Amino acid sequence: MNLRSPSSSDTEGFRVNIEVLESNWRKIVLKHFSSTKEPWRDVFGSELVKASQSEMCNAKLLDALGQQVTECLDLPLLILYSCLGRDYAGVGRRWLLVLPCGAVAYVWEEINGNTLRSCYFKGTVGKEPIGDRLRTSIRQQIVEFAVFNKTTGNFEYPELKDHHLAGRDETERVFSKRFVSGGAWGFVAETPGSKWKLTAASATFARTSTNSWKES
Amino acid sequence: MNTVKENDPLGYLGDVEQAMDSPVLKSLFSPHSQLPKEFASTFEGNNETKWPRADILRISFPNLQTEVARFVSAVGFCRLYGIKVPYENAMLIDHAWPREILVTAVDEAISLLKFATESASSLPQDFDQAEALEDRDYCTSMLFLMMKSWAMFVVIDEQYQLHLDTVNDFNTPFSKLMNELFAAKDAFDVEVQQDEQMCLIAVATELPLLENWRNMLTENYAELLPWWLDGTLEKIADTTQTTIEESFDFFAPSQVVFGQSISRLKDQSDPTSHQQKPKYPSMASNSSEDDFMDYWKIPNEFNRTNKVRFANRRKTQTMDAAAGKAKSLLLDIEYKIDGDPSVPVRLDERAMANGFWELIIALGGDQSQKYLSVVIEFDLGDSSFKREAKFVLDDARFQLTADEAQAKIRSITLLDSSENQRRVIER
Repeated sequence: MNLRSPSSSDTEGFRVNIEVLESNWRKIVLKHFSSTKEPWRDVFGSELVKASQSEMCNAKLLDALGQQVTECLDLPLLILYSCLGRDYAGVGRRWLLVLPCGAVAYVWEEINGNTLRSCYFKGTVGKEPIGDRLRTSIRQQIVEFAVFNKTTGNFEYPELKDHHLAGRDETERVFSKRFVSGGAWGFVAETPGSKWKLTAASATFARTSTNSWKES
Repeated sequence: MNTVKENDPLGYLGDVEQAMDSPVLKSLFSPHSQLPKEFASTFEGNNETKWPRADILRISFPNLQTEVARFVSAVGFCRLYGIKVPYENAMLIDHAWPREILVTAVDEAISLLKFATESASSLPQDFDQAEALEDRDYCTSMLFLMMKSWAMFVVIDEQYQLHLDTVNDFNTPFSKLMNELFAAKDAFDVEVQQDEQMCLIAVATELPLLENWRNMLTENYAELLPWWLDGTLEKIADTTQTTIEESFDFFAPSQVVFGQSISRLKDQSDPTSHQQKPKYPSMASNSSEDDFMDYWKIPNEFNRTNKVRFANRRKTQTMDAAAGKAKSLLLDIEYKIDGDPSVPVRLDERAMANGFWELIIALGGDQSQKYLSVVIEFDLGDSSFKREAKFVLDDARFQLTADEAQAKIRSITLLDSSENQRRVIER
């Protein structure tokens, strides 16, 4: 897939490819698409999801997922990660993509390319009505990674800092978050201390915007 | 009395408005609500025995579940966070709701709790089989489920108190519904508060999540926090970290950092259980004179579903001497190259598909450690076979037939092709 790179703030953006390795695809299909806990039938249709179980490399299903990823990167609507011990300049970063259907997908930047490693509905998202899933998913990401300022009553872009992963010899750095801009979802800017902005209109935006993704 | 706020950074008021604007809730909240004929007979009048059944409601009002679920959780979060609901909606929300909404609300809350109970039950397995970061999402997912159930419960209970004020009787249909809700809540609490589940959920303490929720709660709810926000998880995280560090000391010179089962690590760290009877054979270095070789004994079997990360935090003199050369530690299967930095390794297994099992050995670390080949010698009892694969990025993959997948690993050999170094782990 020739996609906009999330590493570029340029509206044109660099183009990147994302590959789905067979082993990752198999896991996504068997573990997530086939799960009764995750509403993939609402996203891709029952027939396509059912067909994937007998035909693992179902091209239509792969295309459908690719469309979700494309829409996400065109927004953009994602969070980037890194871990200490990895190269902050590029290799080793993990992208967390919030897909238009409300699911999240992880893409790993690696030496030979970018690979889609997993894709699933998280938390309560799969239990929400179809039109509420994206909004719920974004809410979850905000509460997880932004910082709520009790004084201002708003979420703020967290300081860029490493935090140690509990019980693991790893340190994680969430070093960039971007959501839809233009007065809808999103932080005002990618700077520490900038405020999470959610206008009244944005609630409507998230419900109705699946066919009208635009950055203004 | 709750302090009310105008600020609604997560947009819950939008959800409330959307639900209340829906035809079905509009109709039910209307003082002139006209119920379908086939439905009205099931709960006409104020007779307390005439409450609608959730299954009939689902048929009669196809959109009711969706709208009520959205409505109840959004109002619940407004209550928890002290968000002021506009007057025109508050007038309806703050008074007794139609029974159709109450029955559906309880039904939806029970459904959510059942889903949460299933998720809690499978949490350890899901965590073990997940990719990095995905594993943490399984843990935080439980917390999101708990917050949503709490929000729904707050509103339903508010309505129940209004109901009791009116009827002054604990043996009403609403009371029976509440008993079902309590039973579902109890079942969830039993499942989620098991040691292993609690340890895994405590992983969320590495995020701002819990502190954010505490800061968002209005005074009323902040005074009596639920167990996942009252510091319990932070204590568990601290205890787990201490336990793991203690296990490092026991398994010196190297240590397990994080395995698939924290409770198992806890068992191992129990002095009465492991000091007299180590679970794993002690490891001995057969380090040769060859600076590029080092041998460590390993158990002759491993659990294919294990996910093991490990690092070398405490160097012994021997380890220091070997820094820059191959070095390994094995617990189940563990591998370490060089003294520093840490090298996470994972043995993984993918589900069987197309007649093959896929065994994956993942090698983390920086790029210099990724140009290796790995040779595994498998032991089938009466025969053996070898397979070689290169680490492509950080994964070396082996496809095994169903018969081959029964084999135990006899040895693992890592070959550094670029420098012709040979690093061997064998039993």
